[in-house]
Amino acid sequence: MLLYFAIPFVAAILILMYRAVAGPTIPDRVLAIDTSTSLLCAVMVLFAIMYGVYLLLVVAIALALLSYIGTLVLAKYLEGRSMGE
Amino acid sequence: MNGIAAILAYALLAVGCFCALVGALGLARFPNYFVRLHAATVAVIGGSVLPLVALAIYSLSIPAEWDIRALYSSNALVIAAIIVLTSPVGTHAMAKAAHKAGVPVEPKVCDKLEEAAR
Repeated sequence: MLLYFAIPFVAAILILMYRAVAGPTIPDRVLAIDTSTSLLCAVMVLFAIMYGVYLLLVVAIALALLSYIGTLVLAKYLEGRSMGE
Repeated sequence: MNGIAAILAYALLAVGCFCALVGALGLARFPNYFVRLHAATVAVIGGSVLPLVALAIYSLSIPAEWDIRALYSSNALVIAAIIVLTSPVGTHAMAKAAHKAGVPVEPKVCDKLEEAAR
């Protein structure tokens, strides 16, 4: 039952991958990757609960934090400033 | 008790699936970056935080020891809190950086930030 709820998320991630590949500008790609990472966290927790794998929860926490840091670094890079400012 | 938790979790998961699909479709179809940002927020908050809360409720009803259930539930809530706290910050920083880097606003109606920068 819980497995069927993963199908729309995977479909959404596939649609977002289209935007990540075809996106005309760099912020489009960053936005698509960031959004699909958040959806992937939800799918990971779903699989962890369904199959009883504890380790996926830790991986999902690390993935959420890493996606945030990556978005901030790329925003700084696009703005043309260094990390200290 | 377990049946009520499972039904509530399934309802929230169904809403989350709908929000994820709608947000992804909007991100694929909307005309420029700043409109796509709006659809991405729907996909993140509605499509990711809501299912995580639903899974935190659902994991309380699985047949396991209480500490296993508490582990799953608390971890799902922590991930939901991380996403709901960090996603708006990243989105704001990315939007400001994109506007500053000259990403085109194609069907332009009103651009207060560009008027203020002049």
